[in-house]
Order: sequence, then structure tokens, then C-alpha cells
Amino acid sequence: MSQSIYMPIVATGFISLGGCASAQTGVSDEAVMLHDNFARLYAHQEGAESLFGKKSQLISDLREIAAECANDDWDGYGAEAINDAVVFRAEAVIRALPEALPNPEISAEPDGDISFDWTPSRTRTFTLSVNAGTRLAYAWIDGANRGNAAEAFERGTLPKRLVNELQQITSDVPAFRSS
Amino acid sequence: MSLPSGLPEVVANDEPILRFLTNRNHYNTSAVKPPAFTPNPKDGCLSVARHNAEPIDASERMAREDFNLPKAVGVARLPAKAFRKEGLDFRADDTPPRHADVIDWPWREDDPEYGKSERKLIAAALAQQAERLMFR
Repeated sequence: MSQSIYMPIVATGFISLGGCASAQTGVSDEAVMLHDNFARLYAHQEGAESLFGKKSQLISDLREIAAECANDDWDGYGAEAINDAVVFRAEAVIRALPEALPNPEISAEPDGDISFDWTPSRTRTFTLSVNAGTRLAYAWIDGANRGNAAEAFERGTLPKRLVNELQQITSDVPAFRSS
Repeated sequence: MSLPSGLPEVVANDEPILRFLTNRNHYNTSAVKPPAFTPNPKDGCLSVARHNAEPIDASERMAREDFNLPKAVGVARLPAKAFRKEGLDFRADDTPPRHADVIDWPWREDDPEYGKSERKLIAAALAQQAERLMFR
């Protein structure tokens, strides 16, 4: 049986490291150090983002809502509790939102989903629901124009159509749409 | 045909309809939010009251005593025709007095998320039109 050998070389702008490891029998000390450094770098960046910026506030708001709605019937009408899987997915959506967008309002829904709502005016609304599954349900109203869709949210990337519609609704320029 | 409350069994288009607001997921400082009009998944309906909201004290009493919503803080008010315009209808049962369910929401077993998006669109449209009245 042949032994595969690879040489990982990583340039991060902070760390540059070369190593040689045997994939079959284990990893070298250099590869372990590479992995540890990379993990520390990623954790630092993630922590930096989590400490500052409006996304950190959104995640904080989300967790507050989830805590308030952690038990069934939180609305008096028999609503379902918000569970951890939904919160996890909602946090992923927050991280995937384009930076330039205004913050949404975050709410719990009676079916246990989390809703993100943008309402820049009385006649313009974009609303997005996050459940524990892989698809996002969303709808928009822009004056006389309206629509809805459900699309996959995978690998931390929001669907293009969703982002386009959301940016259209939240832009300052009135939308002119073809029917 | 009249119900025990004296209201007709069929909800008229010009009747005022109230959705009691019970928590901050239903409203913000100036408006009603779409989740206030999202139907309950257990029965597929939206519970409402057939009342004018005025005087507001009467609405508060109705919410807390008749509808058993001690945490109600206000109402979202719409005419019945706003619901019908979205393809919905009413089932008035007077249980409690003046209670009705908003029915005929779109549910799709073959594509639950798409059905949810259709309901969200309706909820958003209703929220846009609703008048928000808070209890004192």
C-alpha cells in the first residue's frame, strides 16, 4: 500500500508555515502546530467580530428573544417554544447578512421559528423566517409589488434572490420593477 | 342567524376585527409586526375578536377576562374585508363571546417552507394595514 505524503503550505498574512506529513500514519509536529495556530487565529477573528459590530448586537437580541420564548405558550395563544436548533440557524443567518444592510427586527413566531423583519416604510416590508431546517421562507411587499419564496440556506451563504430582494426593499431609492 | 353574543354568524366585511397583542414579538414602538398575524400551527387558525376596540378599557377587559390573555397590552385593529382580500375567511364561534378564528390560510404539506412564505406574505400585508392601539 502506497503512503501518501502531502506538503501543506499556508500563508495567512500572519503566519507562514510549511510542513510535511504522512496522511496515512499520522501528522507531524509541524502540521499539529499549523492546525493549532490556524485554530487560534480563527478563534481570534471570530471573537473580534463577536465583540464589536452590529452583528454582535443582533445575536444578543436573538438570544434574549429566545430566552423569553423558551417555553410553550409564550404568547398566550399556544405558541411553540424556540429551540436551540432554530437559534443556531438564526445566528448563522445573522452572520451571512450583508454588512451594509440595516439591522432587522427579530421576533419569535408561534410555530417556533425566528422572524427577521425589515420595514423601512409603511409600504415596504421584507420578512424572513428561520427554522431548524435548511430552507428559508421569506416574503416582501414593495408598494403594489409583492412576492414570496423558500430557498436553501447552505454553507453560510444566503440565496442571491433573497439578498437582491432584501437590498431592493431596504434601499433608499424607490424601486421600479418590471412585472 | 345570531350567535349568543347577538352578533351575526357571518362576519360582515365592515366589521372591525381585533388581534390582541400580548408580547413584544407582536409590535414595536409604532406599528404591528408580521408575527402578530401568523396563525397558530396547532389549529392552522388565527384567533381574533369581533369588537371595535373602543372604548379601549372594554377591549382590555375582554382580552384579560373573556379571552384569558392576562398579558395583553393592546390590539391590532383591521376591518374584516382586509382579511378576505388576502383570501382568508372567518369562523365565528362565540367561544368566548365575540371570538372568531381567521381560517383558510395556505398550508402546503408538499412544501412546508413555501407554505410558510405564503402565510408570511399575508401576515406582512395585514401588519402593514393594522392600526395599533395600546391599553393605558
